[in-house]
Amino acid sequence: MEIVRTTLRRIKEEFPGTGKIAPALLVTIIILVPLFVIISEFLRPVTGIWHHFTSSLLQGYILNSLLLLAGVGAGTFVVGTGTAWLVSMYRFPGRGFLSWALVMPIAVPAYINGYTWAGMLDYTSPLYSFMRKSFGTDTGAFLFVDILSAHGAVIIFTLSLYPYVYLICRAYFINQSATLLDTAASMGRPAVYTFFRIAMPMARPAIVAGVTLVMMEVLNDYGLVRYFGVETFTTGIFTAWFAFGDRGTALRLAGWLVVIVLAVIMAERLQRGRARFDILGGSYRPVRKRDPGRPVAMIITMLCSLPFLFGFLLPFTTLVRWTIQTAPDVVNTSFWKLAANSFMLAAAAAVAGMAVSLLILYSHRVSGSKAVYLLSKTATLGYALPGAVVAIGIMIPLLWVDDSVHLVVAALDKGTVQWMVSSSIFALLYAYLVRFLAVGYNSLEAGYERISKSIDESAASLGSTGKRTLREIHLPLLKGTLLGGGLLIFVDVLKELPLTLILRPFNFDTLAIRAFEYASDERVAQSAPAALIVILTGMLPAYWLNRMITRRRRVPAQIRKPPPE
Amino acid sequence: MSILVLKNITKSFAEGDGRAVDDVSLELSQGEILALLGESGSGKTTLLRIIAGFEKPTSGRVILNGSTVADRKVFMEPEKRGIGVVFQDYALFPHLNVRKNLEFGLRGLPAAKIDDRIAEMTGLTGTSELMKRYPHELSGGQKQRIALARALAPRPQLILMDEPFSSIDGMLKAHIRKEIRDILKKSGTTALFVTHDTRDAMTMSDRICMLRKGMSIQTGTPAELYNRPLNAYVANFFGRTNLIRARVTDRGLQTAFGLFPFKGSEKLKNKNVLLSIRPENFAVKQDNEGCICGNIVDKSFMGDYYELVCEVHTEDGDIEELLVRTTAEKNCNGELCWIKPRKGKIHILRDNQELSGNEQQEGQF
Repeated sequence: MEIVRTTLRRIKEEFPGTGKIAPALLVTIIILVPLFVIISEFLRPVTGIWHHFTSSLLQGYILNSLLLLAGVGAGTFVVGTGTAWLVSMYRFPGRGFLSWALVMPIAVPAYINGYTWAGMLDYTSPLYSFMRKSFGTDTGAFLFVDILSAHGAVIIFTLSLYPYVYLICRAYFINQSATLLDTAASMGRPAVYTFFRIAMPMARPAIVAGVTLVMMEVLNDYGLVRYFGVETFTTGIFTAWFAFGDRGTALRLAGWLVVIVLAVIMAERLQRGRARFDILGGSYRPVRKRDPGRPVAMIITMLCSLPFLFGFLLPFTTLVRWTIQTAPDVVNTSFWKLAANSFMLAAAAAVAGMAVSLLILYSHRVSGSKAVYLLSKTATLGYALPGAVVAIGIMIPLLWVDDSVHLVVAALDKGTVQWMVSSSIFALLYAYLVRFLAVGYNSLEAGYERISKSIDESAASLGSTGKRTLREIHLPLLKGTLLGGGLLIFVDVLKELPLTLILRPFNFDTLAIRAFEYASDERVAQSAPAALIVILTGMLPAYWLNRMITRRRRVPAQIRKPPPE
Repeated sequence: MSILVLKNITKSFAEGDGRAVDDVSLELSQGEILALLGESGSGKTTLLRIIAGFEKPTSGRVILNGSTVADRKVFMEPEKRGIGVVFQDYALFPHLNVRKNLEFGLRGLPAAKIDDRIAEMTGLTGTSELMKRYPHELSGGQKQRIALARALAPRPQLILMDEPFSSIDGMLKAHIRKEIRDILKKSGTTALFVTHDTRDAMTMSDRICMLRKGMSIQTGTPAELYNRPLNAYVANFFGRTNLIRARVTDRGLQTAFGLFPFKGSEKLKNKNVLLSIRPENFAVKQDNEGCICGNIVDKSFMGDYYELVCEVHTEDGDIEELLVRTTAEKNCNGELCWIKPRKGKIHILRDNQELSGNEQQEGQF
């Protein structure tokens, strides 16, 4: 003990200020563990059934993943930039409503959207009967067969994810230089020319950032591709882990997935170069909205309604209809317990995420430590890691901890330990922290950037200690940011699927899992109540993000991920 | 008694980087107002931050009221120093109203005392009606007075102000400078402020410390720095001047423009020196007796005087320019004018280095 104490004192003397940053450094390193596990495993020699995967499956995974990335990338690009441009530049009936309605599909997780559509196009569905009556038997069958495929997945992903591109581009178009656009117009150029030659090139970094986010969501997805029968890396990880019980192969697949994710991030970095798009413009003059004339305006209204209709309104009303049908059977005490479970888990993750973000950012602010900064920036990479990868990266070290505990207990002859850390709520929360830290961190960092450094210094010059400044100055000023960031984590956890599926304790279900299980059991209607709760909760931050863009005229930090280098 | 003593303060931010502050020593006595004057990058704000405790000096010692607060071994945190700071952006706490802002530094005092102190501060700064307002509801001038009141409320031994007038418009500025000086003097506060504006420094302070490239180059009263600058840089910084080479002889100062009368000390005899003669220290005359004759090549009307640029054929056969002022219009209507340095207004710079071309432009005119 004496030795430890002396060493600690020595460290304190040698590196003054270590006390301030030690907790932050420790937490950051813990968050980085899964990433290290994946990378170190990736560098080890090949074992197990990996050869089986490379010979028969890997090629399919790669092809499918690339097809999805390309298709969804193109789809969200067209729908996202197109709607953002029309809403920002033209006056048309319903513009005000559509400008935020177009954000709403972000609240519908892709897998829910996917199986709802599959259900809507089912042989017994009203839509199918309608099609059969109007166009003959084949039309419905064609649609139904087609949707459960890679192409169908591309369409569903596009409908669910285009709001990422829409939000970023909208923020960009709202803030773009009105003068520049007016100049183009005054030179007699048609609006189409302005769009393709001026607005698009200028917004390119923003558009690519949005599409990058979309691609990460695609790589993260498990529910939709599994339901649609598209084999990708994520489903491969599940197969290797659960069907073959081969950890090595699951890890190796996770490693490859990380390589793809890093490639996407690198590509985004490279094209962005030194361009900046997060805080836009000094002097601001709103863009003059054009009046396209009655017939064109009607067409624009129709075009902008489509993504909202297919991405939100139709699936949402269908889910409401199903809920009304099945609620008497499904919504019972166990359902409410499930909901409470989910909410508590999400709330705990939100609190933990914001608390850790605050710890790291506060330490960095008072110490100015480069180490804290670099490590924490790396830790926010967790957001780019697909949920299945994070889960595997956490499972491996925690299983090791469990094994060691068992060995020690057995050696001491104290009987057996029932409890295992690798399948506990703790493991789940740890994983959420790794995956969603960036969400809270980015919000809070933006919040801290708005508090001038001289505020801290003037508090100090008035005799305030660091703790008092944190309590009486930072916390009140960051209240909104903490709530907002927490809400985003809350919603992300609530709809999270692959990570929760792997790490959840035995017999522990969440709303997302219950909905997905019902849907997988061909009881789509029964999944509706759980899905509806997830969607309704998700609408809160969707509304909030949209308001932030139009009021503050800047891209909210929360959708500014992908994380930095 | 000195409130603040700086001994050989040096600061470099990173190994191998230049020195932001280079061996500066300074003393400040009770009730004095001192200006740290210099261009941007002269190290004045860094020096202020070292005194406040926001930066640690690389070497040297800061002594506050007799006790060392920073040197190689000691470092007192800013919250323990009892130094008030007014920031350039005022740094009022945006979520607290004015009264709560003022109370922030009074933690630990009994309630009655807090009330007294706030009443006193608002009386002093004329801000008593603003108590319920939030910072975003205040004008620039009001914010500044509140920031000053907040810094003064805990009765600090010393108050520091960073560019206090940089965000205030021209017309209002003169008024606010006077007001703040009055407040400081009335409350007997010792103050140190940073500025790049000679006018701020001259009107506000009792003494000025002129910094350049991290080094203190001259400290003295405003009149000393204006009338008796140590070198060409200071002379130029405080307004336009004519820098003229001369040799001290028995008969006076021998320059290219002729002989200027001067009763020099023995010490300077037969030395080459550099003179600084401000434009207003030349008399412009109508007759030519004992005068330099110049061609008027440029004339600017400045309101209460005219500024003339005159070309003079020197004794070496060169043409040199002199800058002079006159209030009489008739003196500058012709092509020629006759000028002569006023008696006792010739200043010999102690440091006779001339400035290089671009350094001259850095100075403010």
